[in-house]
Amino acid sequence: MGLFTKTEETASVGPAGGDKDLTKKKTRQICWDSRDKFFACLDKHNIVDAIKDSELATAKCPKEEKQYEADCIASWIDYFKQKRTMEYNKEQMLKKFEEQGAVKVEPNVSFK
Amino acid sequence: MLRTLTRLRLQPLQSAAIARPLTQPLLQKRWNSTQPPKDNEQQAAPASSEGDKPKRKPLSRISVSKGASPGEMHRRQYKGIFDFKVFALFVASGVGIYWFFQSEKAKVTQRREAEANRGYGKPLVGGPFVLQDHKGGIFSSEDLKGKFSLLYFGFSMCPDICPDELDKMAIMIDEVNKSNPGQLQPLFITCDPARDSPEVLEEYLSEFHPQILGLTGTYDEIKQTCKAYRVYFSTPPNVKPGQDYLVDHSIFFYLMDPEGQFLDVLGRNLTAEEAVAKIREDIKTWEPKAVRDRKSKGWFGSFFY
Repeated sequence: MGLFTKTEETASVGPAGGDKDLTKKKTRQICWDSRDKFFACLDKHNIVDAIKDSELATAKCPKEEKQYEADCIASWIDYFKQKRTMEYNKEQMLKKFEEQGAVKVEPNVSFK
Repeated sequence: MLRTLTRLRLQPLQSAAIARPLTQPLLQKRWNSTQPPKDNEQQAAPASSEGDKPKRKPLSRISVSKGASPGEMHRRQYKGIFDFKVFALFVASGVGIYWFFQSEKAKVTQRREAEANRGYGKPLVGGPFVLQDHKGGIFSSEDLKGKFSLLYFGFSMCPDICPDELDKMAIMIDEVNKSNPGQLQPLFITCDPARDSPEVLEEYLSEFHPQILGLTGTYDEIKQTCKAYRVYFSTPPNVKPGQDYLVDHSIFFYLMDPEGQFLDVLGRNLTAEEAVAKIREDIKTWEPKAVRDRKSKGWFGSFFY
């Protein structure tokens, strides 16, 4: 998916990339939990894009961000932030279309 | 005699010219005689039996069926053709043939559809590969044979989608094991051979399902395999050692048949339950290629198409 494509630019920035083994279910879950806490904090302060508004995010949720960065690896940290922004934009777009009276059609993917 | 005459008259025009000289003297004879023409026959018969000269009846006068008047003959002929039994047989065979053709056509159509679902003749998905499995053995496309295979392409450092999909895969394996024990071989092919060594895969996959066999290889081997399976993946270029990265790749499951041929694709939009239902249906309706070929090349198959 296109979600992954920008990662190479920011991959080197994260702290301690590689020494956390996120191929383990347990560490993965820890990362996801801190991510959810950080994003909940961002929601509270109406911050959508934690990359663009990184200073604001750090100012409003310093503790959560630190924990998130400690529990996840660099590529994931940015990936989840990008994904959050993308999902927000998608939601807004759908809302806009709905207001304009668009009919939602379930995608029916078939390879036959 | 009059009959002979009228018969001749009724003949087509071309023969009229030939007929005239013949009929001319007859006509004169008829008009000369005082007897009515009807009695000619009846009188001729006794005359021949009694008289000195046996008169020969003209061929046209001899009835084909003895003692039957022409009307009765006609009736017999009519009865011969349009018997009730014959009529019933005609209708029955007509209905029978119609039904037979309809059902044959339906069967052929159904087979065609099944064949089409298999990927229009030769499947475009899949191809030969030789990879390393996480147990230290070699796993090639030949090893797909004998069992249905459920293939997933991913990588162990995948942030959220692969783990979700692999959890789904675990449910699928357990459910299919219940209905079709020993018929499904789940496989995980890495798109990140640089980091996913057999050891990494072993640890990674053991957390999802012990039956999933992880496959890895060199970058080129993986690239070739992914290409054969129409799987897109891209590893970011210029990755420094020790630096972490994500691999962008296609997300879906492939179901391969016990002959190693592509059977179905299961997208991310399906829930585990929907995927299980689809796999079960695919396994249930699957037939070996030899059987499919025999059916599609049946003597009737070519008749409709």
